[in-house]
Amino acid sequence: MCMAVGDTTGTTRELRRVRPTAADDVRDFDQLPPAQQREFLCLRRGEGAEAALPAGTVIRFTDYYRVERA
Amino acid sequence: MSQSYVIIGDGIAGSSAAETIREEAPDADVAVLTDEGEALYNRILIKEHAKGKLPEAPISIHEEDWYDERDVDLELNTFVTDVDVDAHEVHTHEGDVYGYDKLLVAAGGTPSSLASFGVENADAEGIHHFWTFQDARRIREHAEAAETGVVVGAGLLGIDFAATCGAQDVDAKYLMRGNRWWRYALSLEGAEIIHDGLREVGVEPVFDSGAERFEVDDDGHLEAVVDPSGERFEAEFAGVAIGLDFNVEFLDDTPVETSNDGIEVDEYMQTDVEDVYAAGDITRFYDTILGEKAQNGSWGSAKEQGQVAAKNMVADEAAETFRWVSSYSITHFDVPFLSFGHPTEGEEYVEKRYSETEYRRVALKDGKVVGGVLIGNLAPQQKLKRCIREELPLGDDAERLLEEDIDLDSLAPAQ
Repeated sequence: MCMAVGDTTGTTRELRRVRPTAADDVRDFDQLPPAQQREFLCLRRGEGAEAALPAGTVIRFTDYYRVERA
Repeated sequence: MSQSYVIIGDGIAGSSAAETIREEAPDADVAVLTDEGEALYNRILIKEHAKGKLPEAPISIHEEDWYDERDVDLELNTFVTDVDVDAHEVHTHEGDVYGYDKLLVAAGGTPSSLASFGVENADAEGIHHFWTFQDARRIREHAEAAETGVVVGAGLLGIDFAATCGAQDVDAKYLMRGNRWWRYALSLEGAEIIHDGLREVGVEPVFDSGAERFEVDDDGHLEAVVDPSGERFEAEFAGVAIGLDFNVEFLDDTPVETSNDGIEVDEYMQTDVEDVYAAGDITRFYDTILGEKAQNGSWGSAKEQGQVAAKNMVADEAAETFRWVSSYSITHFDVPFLSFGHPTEGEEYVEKRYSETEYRRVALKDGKVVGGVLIGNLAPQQKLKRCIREELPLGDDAERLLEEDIDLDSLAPAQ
């Protein structure tokens, strides 16, 4: 279940589609811990989530998504 | 006197074991031997390099410095030729001998070739197998230049080849035995969503097909693939993904129990030979959830197995049990796909297609969930994996696993 944005930490995240570069820290969805997978799926649906995902990471899913501070 | 640990293989299982041993035994001697020419990389992401979507740099995980900093002796381009379990020695192709107190075999596998099935020209130039970063580089280079291609192998690895062809604008046919992709885990209803995804990226599935023989030109380059019905498909490029041959030859003269399925280990990653352990793709391990032997090739499972093996090696006893519910996603298409647990090990299945792009199939055995497949909506994976992990008895409630929002609290009443 998705949590309201910032419920736990007061911080928020959003996803932005990007083209990855050589400097990016890229992880596949399968390499995320369960809480981060859950947060990613919530964010992708446009719903709020816990701030478990580290900002700056690029996540490979059906596209590449950079995790950014909202 | 410090203990000596030798690890064969520098994939995620071997590398995570080395890291764990260093943490648990700061004074130990640790050597990692690998036949590859580069240190640990992100095996999940190499397909993205082949597709032309990701540069090389983010795929590397460890530079050689990483091993130096941890006082781990990393030996690249090193082929293990045999192991003497009585003398506790590992021998390499260069005649080097590594003595060990504990040995971990995490050597993974090598893609199977259709040549072993007698298929003509199965190792011709232009026919690729996909396992290492080097493979990915070759595949990328060839796919960028090729106009026509064929993919053989209707499973989780074959679809990476198909996606590569799609991303590299190769006009490709995906030859499958039977009437659908991954027929051991999916019904036709679910597989059709994947077939649609393939077509959307420009790859045409061909059913009841396969590679009967490959045709080559005068220079030995692939020219075409002919299927069992005699249909001929022009192809400059071919990707073959029909499984793995596990790298166990160097154990042939030892009592370590091996087979075509890999190395037999218990739930502690220990073989039946004292001081010899195994981890990663190469293991056929005792799955404490299934209550029987199982295999798994996912990244998370291999990493966990490496850590569990390392802890038990250092403790010199069965200190840590491997108990894990794996998952593996395919995200080549707009619609995500995820398999979890053991989706092909069910005795019965419940499934539902919710829409053009959403599908769920859950495999059950003895009234408990053992695995499944999600397409489109991956959110239920956490609850379904919890059902597996906690071995929840479902009684007559299995169909309720198909509800949009699974209510675990109302499922599985106490027995």
